[in-house]
Amino acid sequence: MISSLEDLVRQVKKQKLKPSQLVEEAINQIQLKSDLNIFIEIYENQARFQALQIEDKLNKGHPIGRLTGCIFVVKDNFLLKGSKTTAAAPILQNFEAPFTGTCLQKILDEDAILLGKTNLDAFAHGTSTENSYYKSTKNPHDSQRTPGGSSGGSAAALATDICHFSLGTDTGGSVRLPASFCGVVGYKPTYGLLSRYGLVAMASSTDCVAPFTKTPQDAKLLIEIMAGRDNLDATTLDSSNLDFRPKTVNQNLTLGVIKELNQNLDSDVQKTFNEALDHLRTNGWQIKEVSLPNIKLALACYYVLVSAEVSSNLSRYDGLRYGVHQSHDDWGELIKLNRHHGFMAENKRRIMLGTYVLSQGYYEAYYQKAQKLRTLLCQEFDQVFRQVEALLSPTSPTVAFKLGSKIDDPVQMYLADLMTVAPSLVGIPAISLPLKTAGLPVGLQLMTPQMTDNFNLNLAQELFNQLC
Amino acid sequence: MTQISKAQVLKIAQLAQLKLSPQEIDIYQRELGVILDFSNKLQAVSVNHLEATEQVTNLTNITRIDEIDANLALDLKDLEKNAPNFIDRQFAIPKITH
Repeated sequence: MISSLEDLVRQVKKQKLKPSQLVEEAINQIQLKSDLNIFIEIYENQARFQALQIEDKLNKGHPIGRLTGCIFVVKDNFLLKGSKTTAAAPILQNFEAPFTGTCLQKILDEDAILLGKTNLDAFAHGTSTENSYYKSTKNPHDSQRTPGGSSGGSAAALATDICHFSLGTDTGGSVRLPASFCGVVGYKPTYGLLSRYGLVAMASSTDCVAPFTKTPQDAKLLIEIMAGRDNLDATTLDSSNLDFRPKTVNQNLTLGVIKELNQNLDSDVQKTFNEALDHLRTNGWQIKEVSLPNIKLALACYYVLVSAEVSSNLSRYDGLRYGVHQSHDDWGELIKLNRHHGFMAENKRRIMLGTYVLSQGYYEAYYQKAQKLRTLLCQEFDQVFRQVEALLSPTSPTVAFKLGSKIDDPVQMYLADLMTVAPSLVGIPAISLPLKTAGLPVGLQLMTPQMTDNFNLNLAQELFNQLC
Repeated sequence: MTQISKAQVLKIAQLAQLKLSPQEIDIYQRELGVILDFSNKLQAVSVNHLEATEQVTNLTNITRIDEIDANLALDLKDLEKNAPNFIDRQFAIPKITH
């Protein structure tokens, strides 16, 4: 019985658990769950080899890392040197990464065992993992439903106990939403806390490396390992002052429920969320309704800004230096052909939208307006954090939706992100906690101010103990 | 509903270096109209008095000495693996005719 990542590492160090046995169990579990289409690449032999190397280090008494023996998987938009990194997109299907990204390297350096690369919406554009070039991943709780997106594969892998933790990226909810749909913890840190070097870029001003774990305590260990200024990512913050020690959370603080996000919810979500709040009140927590008057505009703001950044970040995919390429004698036509065949429909949609909002005549009305609204949202969050210490909302207005039900309606698909985009825009930490339910999983989102990651994770663990 | 013309769709596609099929032009014309309709909610709010936020870290640009760190430089052999046409340490591409 493993109670946490730290507990697992302790048991491995005492040789009560054998890494190679853990790997075999995981590989077995992958086979049992193969119909869920979780993986793009499985590293069976590499994982077996890594396990043997760890056992060798243990036998020789050599120093070992803080994640020794922990099995993990990563979303296939993390570059791993010498391996394919596809971003689930046609153009990168054969791309071999020339370097390993910072966060992934930090985890590997702690002797965690990487078992594979998981499915995602192509280029992380999506909320259901249905935009993948490969088959859609299915929700482990109901295979007719999506696991959420864009990090659906990593969420499903943890939910089915294939691994002990997994990594995804969260740009507007892409870890929190699948965490909510799959019934696991998903944590988006303060923007800039973790390096983006080695990620396939989506929106540079909101992309975050974000872990999936069974508990907030586990997420804290991973964040602590990965956090830090990186010379290879100029947008990383100095986290040397951040204290990740456990701290008891005093129930004298006030939790704010965002009024505007506590409406128009699916009845399952409303009921479960209300029950959670009642439970907290019964246990003595102060809960207050707060207003963020413009939060409902955050979704439109997000899609304008993120599409603009996507259109810029995806301009590099011309097939001239890497990527699947077509044939043509003319440079311009070749680029267009490479991109036509290289992107999924949603990628093209976002590139087109982004190009439009940045173009002459529309830039002020859309892009610049959205940037100013982003300032307003930052101000509103600052004001509300003077009234309460932390904010609560459901992670999603719905439970996991049926596969295929939103694929023809882009705006419906975007609405899944309604609750999660605002924290992304303002850069604050936000976690999704899996509430106790009889039916499909429902997530509770907890948000706290910038650079309060330790507070967020401590508070989240306390709420988790009471509600999950 | 926000109408976006076929000419506009083609112009955007040209700027974005995308080649669209006739069916895709129709589809994106319709879908972009719907998405822009949704984005028009932004027009309701008064924000002209505010500065734009480009990034939320409050970091400012710094510089460093322009020198190569051999540990970080990518290996040409790794770049060559992915390249369609790699000649003499350069990516060979078709002629730019216009």
